Formats: sequence, C-alpha cells, structure tokens
Amino acid sequence: MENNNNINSAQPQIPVQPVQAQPVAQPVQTAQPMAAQPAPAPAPAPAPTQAPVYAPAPAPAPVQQPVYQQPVYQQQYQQPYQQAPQYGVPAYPASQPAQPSDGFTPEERSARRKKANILCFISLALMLVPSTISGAFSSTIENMSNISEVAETVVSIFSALVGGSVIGAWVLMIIARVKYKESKFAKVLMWVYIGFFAAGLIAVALFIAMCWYITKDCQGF
Amino acid sequence: MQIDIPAFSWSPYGLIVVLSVIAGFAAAVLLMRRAGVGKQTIFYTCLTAIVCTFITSLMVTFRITERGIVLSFSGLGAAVGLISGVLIAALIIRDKPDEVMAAFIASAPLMYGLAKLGCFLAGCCHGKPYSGPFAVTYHNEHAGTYFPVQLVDMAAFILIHILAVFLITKMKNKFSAICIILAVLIPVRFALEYLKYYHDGSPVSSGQITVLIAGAIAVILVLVWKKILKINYR
Repeated sequence: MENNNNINSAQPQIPVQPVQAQPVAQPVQTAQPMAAQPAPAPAPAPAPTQAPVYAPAPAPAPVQQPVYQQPVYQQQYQQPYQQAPQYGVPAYPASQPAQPSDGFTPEERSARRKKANILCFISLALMLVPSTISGAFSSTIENMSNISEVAETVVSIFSALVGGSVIGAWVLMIIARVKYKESKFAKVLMWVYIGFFAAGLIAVALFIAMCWYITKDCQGF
Repeated sequence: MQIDIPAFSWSPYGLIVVLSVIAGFAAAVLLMRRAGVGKQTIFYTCLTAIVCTFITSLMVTFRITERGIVLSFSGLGAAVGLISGVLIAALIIRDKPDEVMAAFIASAPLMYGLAKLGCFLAGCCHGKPYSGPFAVTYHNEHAGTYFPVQLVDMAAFILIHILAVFLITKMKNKFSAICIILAVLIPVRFALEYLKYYHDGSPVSSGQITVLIAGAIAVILVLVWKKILKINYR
C-alpha cells in the first residue's frame, strides 16, 4: 500500500517526463501490438519486458536526466503501474484478476499460511508433549505406594499443567481456525482433536459397559 | 411415601452426567440461535466450552489414592471451566459475546440440575438421615434412609434455569441478567449444602467455602469478561 501511495504521490510530479519519452522511444512498436490486441490476457506480461525499452529512452531526451537522478522515481519507473498508462492499454486492470478471490496477495497468503502453521505446530506440541510425558510417568505415579502430601501436591501441579496445556492446544487450534480460515492444517487438526475427544468419550462409555458386563457375570462370587 | 433405590450393578452416574451436559449445551445452542448468534460462533464456542468444562472438572477431581488414580466429575469445577471456556471463546470470536455468555450462564443450572439425577440414583451427595415423607432408601454402599436432597437440588436448579431463560430473553441488558442469575444461583447452592450428609452443623462448612470460592471465581470471570470486551449498555 505504501508503494502505491508513493507512486500516486509521485505521478503528479513527474508525469510529463516518461510520457514524453514514449513517443520518442518507440511509439510505433509499443502501440501497434497493443492496438492489435486490445485487452488480451497476457497484457501484464509484456509490460515488465518493455521497461528496459524505456530505460534508454531518456538518454536522448535531455529533459529526463534530472528525473532519473531521483532514486525514488527511478525505482517507481520500473513498476508496471506507471508503464501501463503509457501504453494506453488497460494493462493494470488486466493484471488485477491475478489476485485470489479471498482478497489476499500471494505474499499475504504465504505469510498467513506461515502464521497458521506456527499456531498449529505449537498446538500440536502442547497436545502431544504433556500427554506423552504423563503417559511415560503414569506407571511411576500409579506405583506410588506411600502417598505423601508432597507427592500429592506434585501430582496436582502436574495434572494442572497437563490440563492447561491441553486447553491451550485447543485454544490455539481454534484461533488458527477462526483467524486463518483458509488453513487446511488447522482444519485437519480440528477434526483430529474432535475425533480424539469423541473417541475418548466412546472409550470411557465402552469401559463402563465392559465393567458392567464383567461384574454382572461375577455376581455371587 | 418413601422412595426405594435398588443397588445397580453399574452406576448410571457417568452416563447421566454426560447426558445432562449435552442437554445443557443443547439449551445454550437454542438460546444462542434465538438471539441470532452465528453458526460458526456457536460451533467454536461450544467446542471451547465443552473441552474446558470436562478438562477443568477432571483436573479438580484428579487425585492418587492407594487404589490408583481417581478421576471424577466436579460440578463446581465444570461450572468454572464452562465460564472460562465461554470467556476464551469470546476473546477469540467477538460475535455477540453478551448473548453467548448469557445463554451459557442460563444453561449451567440445567446441566447441574439434571446431573443431580445421577447423584440421586447413585446415592452420592445424599442428605441427612431422615424417615419422613419422600425419604429415599439406598441398598448400595450408601445404605440407609435419607432426606432426598438431590431431588430438591434438581428441582431448585431447574427452576433457576427457567427463571434465567425468562430473564435473558426479556432483559436487553444481558449483563444485569447474568448478575441476577449468579446472585440467585450461589446463595441457593450455598443453602442446600446445609441438607447434605457431610455438613457438620457449623455455620459455614468446608463444602460451603468451596461453593463461595467457586462462585467468587465465576463472578470475577464474568467481570473480567465484561471489562475485556468493553460491554456497556445505555
């Protein structure tokens, strides 16, 4: 946006020089192919290639020398935004549909994808690491024959950390889903979490049913 | 008239608790839909709230005994988890947060009230010894005849739920409605503790202190929610 604004603000200052340079440089060569194809799809493609044509053009024109001494203008002069009106062809509007329908440029999309992936990876780590650690130490915890107050406190803190990290994992996943709706990783992660949650509930239900079945058969013993 | 509860070979407590949570969330969804909350907001809020409800409840009850790890379901822990989940969801999705919070606050008594049916059938949280009308007799590990405090709990909280639904549908200022619901909910829960078997007769028992702490946490969370989201009514 800043570049566009700079370009727009620079145009009133230097509009004359490049436009004057056009007819001097190649008035026929540039106009003819564009006139033959008024609004072609590849219109944006030739635009950047024409930039070098305009670069040497100011050389014979003495008026343009001070213009090229300005680095800002020289940089902007390479932009297709300024070249398009010089051709008299709607090259800039033709390049607009290249943007995706979600309104983001490819760079923005890439940045958003990276942010969503970072959130998802942190979420995955928060979900897996505490669960793995608690699973690894579960036998140790269960084998604590002498339950002291210190051990109970440690276990309470540990369970709070595990629970908090699981909640954090869900929250980060939901942030990724809400803020970066296009992220497929976040979408997959959400359904994986929901699947595990549902599987956990079903497993508990099956466990209860199994206990009921066993105790029913063992009645009287 | 007395109520006789047979000894179940398996406790229906867990199933009834899960069903009561589902019923409470269904009521919250209906209230949110009625208030015009978006489907996506409802989905993600329910997801956050249900995860926070279960995990907070399990965290509160998790302990190690000589018989192994014990996990249970704590109503107070679930209530705090529910409000925390709604608060977190409101911070992520800022879509009609007052309607969302009001719907869940109104549905919480329904969840709690229906879950008391599980307590009633299982015999846990039973009342003091009693042999008058509607006395309940258990034949399991809680064998005895007691005051049916779980049924009183259930009736009281379902009535509070009906009152809460009335308030949040009629009042434009949802924050005031939430405050009124909490102002009714916490004292009722506190008072019903006097009828429980574990109440030692002191003016304020340890269970009642827990109720006050959980209530204070809920009020603080609601105030934080209002402050963060800058919800104001004119």
